Amino acid sequence: MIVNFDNAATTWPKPPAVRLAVEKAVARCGSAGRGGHPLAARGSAVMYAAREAAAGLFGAAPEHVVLTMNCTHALNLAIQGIAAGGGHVLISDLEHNSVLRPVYAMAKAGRLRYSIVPVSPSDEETAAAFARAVRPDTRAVICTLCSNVTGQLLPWRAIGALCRERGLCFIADGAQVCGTRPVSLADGIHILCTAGHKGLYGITGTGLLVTDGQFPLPPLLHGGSGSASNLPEMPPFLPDALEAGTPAIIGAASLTAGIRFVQAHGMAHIFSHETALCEHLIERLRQIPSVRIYREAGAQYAPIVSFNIGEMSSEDAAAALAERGFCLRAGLHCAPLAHRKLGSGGTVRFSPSVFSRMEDTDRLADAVASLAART
Amino acid sequence: MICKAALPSETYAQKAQRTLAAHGYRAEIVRRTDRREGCSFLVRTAGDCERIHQLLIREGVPVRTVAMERDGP
Repeated sequence: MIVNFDNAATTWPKPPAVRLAVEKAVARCGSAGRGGHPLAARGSAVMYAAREAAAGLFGAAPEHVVLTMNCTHALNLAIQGIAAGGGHVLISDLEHNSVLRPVYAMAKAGRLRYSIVPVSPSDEETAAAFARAVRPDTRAVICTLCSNVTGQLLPWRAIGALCRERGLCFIADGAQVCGTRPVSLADGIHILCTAGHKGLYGITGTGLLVTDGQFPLPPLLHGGSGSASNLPEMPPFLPDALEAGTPAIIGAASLTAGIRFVQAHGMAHIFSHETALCEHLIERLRQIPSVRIYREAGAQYAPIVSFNIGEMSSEDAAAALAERGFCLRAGLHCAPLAHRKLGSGGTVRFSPSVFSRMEDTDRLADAVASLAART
Repeated sequence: MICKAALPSETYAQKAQRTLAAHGYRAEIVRRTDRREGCSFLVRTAGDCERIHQLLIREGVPVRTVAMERDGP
């Protein structure tokens, strides 16, 4: 039996309603916005339903919801778009490569300057560090709302307030919190980027860029949009301006069903269920002397736990756990900045979903104990 | 009286259709191609054009033009 504790990468299994929505969309839909016939009309309705569902969840207008391939795609649209104007941006020292790499690439090309702001266990200290790092030429704060390595939550409402006060664009990476914590543009976020296939339970190949429209972004891709076709350039309005090519209608159908699933279960319920599993695992792991858990007193966490077993490499530990049927991710989690901060060369990451069970968490703790006994 | 409102995109046509439905209008989306813009969309519904225009503008739908059916958009 396979037990998935790697839901921070992508949630698995998907809810039955999501699987059904995919099957229905495959059977019923043609392209969207590319014709007036019934197959196209169904596709268009599916796309709009996804925009409406995401808009309702994040406090945006449906036309300001851009459907992307994944969170990285959304972040590239936002970061490269903001970088087009030059200047300086702030990122945190917990960023995933989906933020670090586009920022670094823009900086390397001489189009952007950036500073890395340290995140502290204290929300007040973190917010103060961001405030201190703002320079006269700073144009944006680009940061994750939650570390994908440790699960530490950043004080995004305080960062949002800072951005509003200083007139900065706040680009937020919500990949690890959307679906478990309430996130809204009303929190001061101008551009929210997130995955559709993690806490929102859509299929892989789905992502979202949700904007309040205050900071217009140029397109990354150019091509057909099904609108204003006589123009030699992308249409000047959202979402068409940022959605070139045939959209992922099947993915959009899955995302709508996933968001409805989250809303039906309640984010607070999902968060408390997953947090209970994390707390139970931590309690069990603390009884194993050679296990190191990467959590700090005073910090707030999403339901993610990183740990190591003695001197065993994280990859060896994850491989041994996989032999026992547990899927956990090891290594750097595409977040080298966070690991540098932790002083780790990699960790094993436990990330449950709403479908994860306490008895499986207990069995995982038993398996870790047995591995630790061998080291 | 049939009113036709021209919208720049499928997304706005969908938004217009839902906005009108929320106010009791049953509207259909019609795709069109015009010489100036290329592909665009209409919503077609029974009702007073001026009232429909005002409603859509108020709800944030960027209506390009409205016209009664016999006039064409």
